[in-house]
Amino acid sequence: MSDRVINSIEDLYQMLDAAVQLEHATIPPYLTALYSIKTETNPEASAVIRAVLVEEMLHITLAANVLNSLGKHPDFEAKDFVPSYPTYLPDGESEFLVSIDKFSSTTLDTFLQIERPSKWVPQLDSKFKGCVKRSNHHVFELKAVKPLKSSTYSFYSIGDFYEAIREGIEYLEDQANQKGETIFIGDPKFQVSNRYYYSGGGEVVEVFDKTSALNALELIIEQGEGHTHQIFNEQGELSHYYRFQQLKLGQYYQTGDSPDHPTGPKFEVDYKNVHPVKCNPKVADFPDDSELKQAALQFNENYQAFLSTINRAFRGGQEELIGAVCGMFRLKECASQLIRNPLPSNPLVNGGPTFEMRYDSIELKAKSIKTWETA
Amino acid sequence: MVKEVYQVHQFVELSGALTDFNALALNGTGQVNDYLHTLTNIVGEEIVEQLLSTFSAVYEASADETMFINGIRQQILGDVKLGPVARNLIKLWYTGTWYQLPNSWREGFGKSEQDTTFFVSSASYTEGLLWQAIDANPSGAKGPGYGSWSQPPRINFNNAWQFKPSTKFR
Repeated sequence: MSDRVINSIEDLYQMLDAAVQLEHATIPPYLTALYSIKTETNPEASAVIRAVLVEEMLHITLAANVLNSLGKHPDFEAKDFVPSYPTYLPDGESEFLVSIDKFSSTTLDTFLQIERPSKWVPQLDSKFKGCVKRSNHHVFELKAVKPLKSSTYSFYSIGDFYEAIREGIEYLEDQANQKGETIFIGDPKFQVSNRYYYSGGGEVVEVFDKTSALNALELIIEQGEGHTHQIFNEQGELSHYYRFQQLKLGQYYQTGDSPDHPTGPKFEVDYKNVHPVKCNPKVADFPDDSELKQAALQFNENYQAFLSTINRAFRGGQEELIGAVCGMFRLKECASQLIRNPLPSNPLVNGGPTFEMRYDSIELKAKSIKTWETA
Repeated sequence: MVKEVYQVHQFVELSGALTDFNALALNGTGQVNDYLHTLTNIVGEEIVEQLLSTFSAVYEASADETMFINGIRQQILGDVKLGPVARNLIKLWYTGTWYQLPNSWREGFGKSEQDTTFFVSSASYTEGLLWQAIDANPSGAKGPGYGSWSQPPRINFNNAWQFKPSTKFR
């Protein structure tokens, strides 16, 4: 018998807030790896990473919609929202770090770790379902990796993390219903809909009640790690882990295949046709008077402004997503530019977007809109 | 500096002076090596070397930008051999297209079989500097997002090339 991870509405708020943060944390690594691939090479790897990347954006939106349905909002401007890379994500006994890096065999191994399916045997060595006990808990920056009130347990996989949220919603809504209440007290106008969210890895689910909340979470889990350990989901889509595994094995899965044994067309992954991005680049790595440094600072500033726009979109201003999408295309160009430019000090290593956010100037503003923590 | 690295550096600076886009913007297109390769294939290593060394010599001998610009006009753009090549390089960077060199030049210095008008690659089309210059997306590529056309173009000159006195290329 394992303990429930989520026991109060505050637990649920924090877990969903962490979900948004966790989904976002995968984007800088996926994005950098994708744009490090030289144009017109590695079409298979580019297509796979791109597809996963846009689905992570959908997952952010879905998790945010669930949080909004409970009457709270995600905070894209929070000081710890963008982690400092390398960073830790949920993992099992052998912890791994997620870096901003070029596409390589090592990077691909990390992506497989990020997307790994939960253990086939649901009961791990833990009193919390889907969690493992670990001694180095202090290294985990993301709120998502540990159940509340536990200093020694972390989730084994992202899927386990979402299972805990699903269980929490069922439990808390049942409790509320018994008292003639509901936990879904959010204003529907905060739900981001397909009217403003487009071309991003699938259809957004608007969340108003338990059924729609579970549907939204189900979509995240299915796209991410598949359903009941099948490699294809009900829509015939491969889950993220197996999409990446195709690149590792140089072969596509096709319908009817069993895990780890694809039988579709083969292809070659060319790790040499990749821009040599510096691993976990920091603005401080670029010379003071360089064009590269100016461009890196500019990218970070634009990224932070972009996160603010997204923040407003999830707080009632969803029409801002139209402009935010245009901003995303501009960010893509800026990121590609950084990735294609050699370091002045070492022409054999390239720059890259550093995703370092500055909080000195916007700290007060961020504090004032951090509504759900003070409400 | 390794010879290739040195040559690429010279080529980027020459391209910068001719197009008025700095190294960040030029490297940012991902086309530097392909364009240098295209140029060398068509006009030959010798003319490329002459173009780059003339450029470096003018640069290093110029005390200020006016001197530099005059030098480039006289010794490169005004030169019978180097002028058409430099003009082709400008067109290449802006459009991603190699245009066949003028007949007068071909009769005097070339007639490479590869000297036809062609896109270097599909990427060279989308990475043409003309799109950056007018802040538009290449037709059929690099979609800028729904409704972006309702916004005025944001043209900035942050990535302009700059003459830096006392630069040494070796």
